Parts: sequence; C-alpha cells; structure tokens
Amino acid sequence: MTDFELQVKMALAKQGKAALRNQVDQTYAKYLFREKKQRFYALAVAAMLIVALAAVGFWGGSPASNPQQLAWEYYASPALTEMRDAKITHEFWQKAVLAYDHKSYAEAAKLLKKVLDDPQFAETDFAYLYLGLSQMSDNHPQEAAKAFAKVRKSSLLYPDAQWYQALAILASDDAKQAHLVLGTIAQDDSHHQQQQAAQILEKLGK
Amino acid sequence: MKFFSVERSDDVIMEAIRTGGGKREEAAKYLIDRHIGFIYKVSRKLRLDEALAKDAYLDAVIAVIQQVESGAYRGENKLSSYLYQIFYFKSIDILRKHSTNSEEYMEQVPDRADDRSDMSLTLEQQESVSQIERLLERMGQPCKQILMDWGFWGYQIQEIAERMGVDDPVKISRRKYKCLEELREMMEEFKFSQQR
Repeated sequence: MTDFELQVKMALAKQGKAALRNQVDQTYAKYLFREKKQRFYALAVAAMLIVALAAVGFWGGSPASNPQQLAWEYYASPALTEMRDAKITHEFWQKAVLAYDHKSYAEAAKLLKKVLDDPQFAETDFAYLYLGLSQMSDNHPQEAAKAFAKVRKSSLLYPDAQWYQALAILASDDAKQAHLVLGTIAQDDSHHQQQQAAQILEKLGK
Repeated sequence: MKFFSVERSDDVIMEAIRTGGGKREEAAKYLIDRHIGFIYKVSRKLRLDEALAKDAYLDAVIAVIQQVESGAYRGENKLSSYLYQIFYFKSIDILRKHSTNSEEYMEQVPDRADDRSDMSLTLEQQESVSQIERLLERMGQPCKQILMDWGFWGYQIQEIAERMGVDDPVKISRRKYKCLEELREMMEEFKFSQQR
C-alpha cells in the first residue's frame, strides 16, 4: 500500500469514526427514552404497591420489612473486575485477588489487612473497599461497615463504598444509622444506586 | 434477519469481526447497540460528562474490534466484560486528564532524544490526512461510498458491487481506482496552489 493510500485510509477512519459517533448519539438517545419510560412504569407500579401495602397495614398487616433480611436481599459479592485490573503489583494483593476469586473471603480479608499494614501501599481505597466486601461476604457486616467507612470521599470508589456501607449497617441491624446513609444516597441524583436506596427506604417503611 | 436484531454469542461476533466487510460493520453496530447502557452506568458512577463518556465508549468499541482482529483478545473473558473494562479505564483516564491535579513534579528533567524532524513529519502527515478528509467531502456519493466501504469497513470488491447493485465487480474495481486517482489529483492541485 502506498503512502497516499495509507493517508486516505486514515482520513476514512476519521470519517468512519464520526459516523459511528452519530450512531452512539442516536442509540443512546433511544436508550434514555426507554429508560425513562421504564422508570415511569416502575414508579407507577411502586406507587400502586405502596398504596396496597398501606392498605394491608391499615387492615392489620405489617408493611415494614426486616432490615437484616433486606440488606442481604440487596447485597451480592461484586465481580472482581476493578480489583483485578487495578494494576497493583503488591504480593499480598495478588494473593487476595486469587482468594476473593475462589470465594475464600476470610482468607482474602486476612491478606488485604496485610496489604494495608504495609506503609508503602498507596491504593488504600481499593484495599478498604475490597476488605469490606470480603468481610461482608464472610458474614461480618459490622467489621465491613468500618472498612467501607475508610474509603475517602475524594476516591472514585466512594459511591460504591457508600452503598455497601449502607447495606453493611443495615445487616448489622442498626436501622437508624442505615436510614441516614440510605437517605443521603437516595437524595443524590448522580448516585448509581439512588433507586435501590429509595426502594429499601420504602420497604423499611421510612 | 439482521445481525444485530437478536442476541449473538461472543464466538459469532468475533467471527464476524474477523471476516471483515459487511459482517464487521454489523458486528460494530451490534456492539454499540447492545451495550449502550454502559454509558449511563459509568457516567453516573464516575460522575463523568455524558459526551466524554460517549467518546470513551466508542474508543472502547473500536479498541475491542482491533484486539479481536489482531488476536490480542482470545475470549478468556466475556466480550461484554472485556468491553466494560476497557471503557471503564478509558473513562478513568479521561477523568484524570480533566482533573486539576494532574501536574507531575520531577527532580530532574529526563533525557530525551531530539525528535523534532519526526515531529514535523508527523505534523505534515496529519495535515495531509485532514486535507484528504476535506477533499473527500467534495467527491460524489458513489466515490465516497466505495472508498468508505473499502478503506474503513474492509469490504471486498464483490461485496461493494452487491451493495451498490452492480453486476460486474470489475466495474467497481475500476471505479475505486479512478476515485483514488481523482483524489490524488485534487491533492496535488491543492499542494501546488499552496506553493504558489
């Protein structure tokens, strides 16, 4: 291929990319429209459920759910994606990744504590988040809540840590404190778990 | 049935990308369409501007296609997870570039080779590419389509002929050559006018 043909291909690549960018714009606009519609229907269904639950409550039923049960209903050990790709080369970190991968959560928590004991280790937000997740998955929600609380507000991982902290507090049966954290998330329009937090608050009966 | 109207397995998508041409175009559009929700998720998770997230998403789709073509992606992870990872880290890169604390302090200035001649060559090439882009806009629709199908999507001449409803692929081959020649002449005219 000549230099000129190569330059033509580069120019075509730029034009092709611009055409694909238009497709992204159009597809995303449709996606948002669908999402809004679904959210509207979900809200309508939720509103009907609330009315139904209120009616049941009025006639002697119990609308509020058990906080601990709710926490475990919403909690699922997340995939390792961010942990594996954090580009951290610390020896214990690699072992912790393997342990977490094999669902050996107690072992993962032990190794992550060792990682955090190392004063040279800089990615403490990653380590605290996954320490909390390991402890939560190992059924130690009180310890998990403490670990999540150590993820700094300035970290990109903070919204995740905040969500799991709420679930860990809920699982520790501290409904009052859980209300506070869930309320903060539910009022944050940019939080990716805003809807779920609002759902839990509804189920707790506010 | 259109390629992207139903759910496709990773193997089918990878095969389509490696085949090139129409299959590759459909696979690219399928990937964009199928995982468009990643933009919503990541832009909210990282509090990243949606326009920037869309750029990162498209770059990630293109990177996945290139890695499937080159064989760098061998299917160890699900294609969707792989796309998500690339998109996520591209978004983080964008965030870092836009953050105000991105300055790096060095005690010593690192040694670097003098690359000024390479730089001017690169700039010259970049200028040529931009000029070709502008000239392409001035060409007729058939030329634009033939060149785009050949140069960007990697269609075979036979496929381009079918897409354009032409029975004889040789005609398309000649037409492509003429289009390239026309473009080359326009480019030379432009360079000549610049020198005067």
